[in-house]
Amino acid sequence: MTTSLGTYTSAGARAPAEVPRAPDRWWTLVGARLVPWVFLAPALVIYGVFLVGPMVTSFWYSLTSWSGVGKAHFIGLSNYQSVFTNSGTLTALRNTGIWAAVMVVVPAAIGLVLANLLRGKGWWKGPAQALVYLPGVLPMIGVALIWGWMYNPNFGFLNDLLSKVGLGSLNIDWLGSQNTALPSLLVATVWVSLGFPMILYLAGIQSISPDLYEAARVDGGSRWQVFRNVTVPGLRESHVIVIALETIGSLQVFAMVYALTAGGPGNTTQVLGTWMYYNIFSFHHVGYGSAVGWLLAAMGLVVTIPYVLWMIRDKK
Amino acid sequence: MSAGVLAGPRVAPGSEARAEAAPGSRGRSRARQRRLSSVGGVVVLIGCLVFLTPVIVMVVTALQPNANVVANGPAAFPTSLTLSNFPAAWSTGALGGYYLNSIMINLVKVPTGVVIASLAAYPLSIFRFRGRKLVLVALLVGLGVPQVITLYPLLQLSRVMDLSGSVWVLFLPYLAFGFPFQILVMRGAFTNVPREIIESARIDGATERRIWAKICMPMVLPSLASLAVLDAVAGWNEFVIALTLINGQSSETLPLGINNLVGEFGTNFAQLSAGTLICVVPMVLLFFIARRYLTRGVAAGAVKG
Repeated sequence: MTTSLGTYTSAGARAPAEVPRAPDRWWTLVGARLVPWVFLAPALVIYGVFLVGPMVTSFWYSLTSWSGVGKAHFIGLSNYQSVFTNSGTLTALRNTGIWAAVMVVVPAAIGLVLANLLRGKGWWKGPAQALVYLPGVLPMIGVALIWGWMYNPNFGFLNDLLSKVGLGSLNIDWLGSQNTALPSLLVATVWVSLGFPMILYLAGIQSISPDLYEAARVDGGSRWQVFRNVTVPGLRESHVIVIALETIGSLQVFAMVYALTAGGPGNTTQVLGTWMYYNIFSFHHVGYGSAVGWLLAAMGLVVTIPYVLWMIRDKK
Repeated sequence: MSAGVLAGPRVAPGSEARAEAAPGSRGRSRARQRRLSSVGGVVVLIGCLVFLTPVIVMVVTALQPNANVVANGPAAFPTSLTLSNFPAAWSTGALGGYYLNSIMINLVKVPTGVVIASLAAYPLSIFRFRGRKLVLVALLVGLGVPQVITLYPLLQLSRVMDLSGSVWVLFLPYLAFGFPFQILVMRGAFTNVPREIIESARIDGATERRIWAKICMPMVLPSLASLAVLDAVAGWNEFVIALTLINGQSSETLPLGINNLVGEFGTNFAQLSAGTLICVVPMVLLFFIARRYLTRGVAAGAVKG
């Protein structure tokens, strides 16, 4: 029996010694093979119908010309060709790229510094960690409103503050002018995202052997030397995780742009997520919008698949 | 990598000082370092409050009569304070209905999702069977699938199911999008359950269902709690799926309610701020109550297992 189950370490033990009769034994074997699938079934069905299914369907739509009503015409890869000539899509693609680049570098760097500053013991470190992470649990749409009030051109805090300190000439319609709209959105997004890499780095630092820190302390290493020679090299895996998750997160940006600028002024702050949304739900270009969406999904999968394979690799 | 990330600093204040108050000059310099570190701590905490300026501005705005905000500007020191914006925002914005919808969907969705994900993660971490790796990768890749690409097909699906007038239209899509992260975390948690315990239960003739329910699940309770908190945050804050699938204001969840505030309050910034605060305050409370579980969960999702 053990040989017939071979690589199968599990449910064989369900049927202990008393399986003499052949039909029983056969049934036990089939039953044993089914056990994992019984456990997996609810998740696989829901995941298949409500995530994988819609994904595949939207890929089919991306190969058609369709307004959402009537018949969809199959047009092959034409939507994907026009993706690279449509100026709105190119802007959205560029902005998504900028977004990912900023989010991979800025919150990660600041998060690393914060994690190093706030690691270890000290009465103020726990509260400080909490205050930095706090914005991260707020609904993104609420964060958008909070920053909308900061940026409000006529009554907002930023312009009011500038006026009160005598710099009223610097007043800007932060979200309404082409030069400042995207940077303003990025500032708000960095603000909300600082805590996440900090926590990942803190977890990474915890996995570094305390002996290394102790040894460095005994040797009289300065804080910078410890950071440079113990912390940073010990965080190789954390860097991979932070970079992958920040990239994936940037590709999924939606609420911030939708609520603060709706992609404006003049589409200059569109990202692929909002651009796809408006194409499908405002312009009724279901086919074209789906192609934009798949451009985004392809970028996401290119990052996610290697990341997932790396996460589940067998530990050596 | 252990998970008690933010639990670290919780040490009785005296214990360290005692340990390090060694005799001699070294001890004195340590004590001075400690005082310096305290000063540094105060500076850092003040820095944190500056960092939170946008939130503080919103609170201060919400506590003033709107006329004052418009006349003096939000950067002015408030001259009169009032709480009246909060009840006004609650009734003008009809926030009660959004609250109820968000609470209902999350009360059902969070436990269901965590249990189904735990069921799926169990064979993926304990068993060896053909197709295991493929299923695992397929389930985890959902981490990187942008929700927007599923929206139109999901909308069609919800019309077929005739659910688009109800908040329950969100239930199954929310479950599906929650699984990748939950299964990743639970797989890690189950992998840490000692194999000997599972094997001996099998030898005693326990069914796999029993081993899962009576042995493994109790041993991963901290992970379950972390996931439940994270899932509640994610569900409470989710915007784009709700925006697309829910049809009719009476079924809308809180993030959609926040989105509606702008239109409803126009230039009544004080009430708009009060309404926004009413909407985000449950997450702030949850954060301070369950911070350890929350940060632990975030970290656990990033641990290779």
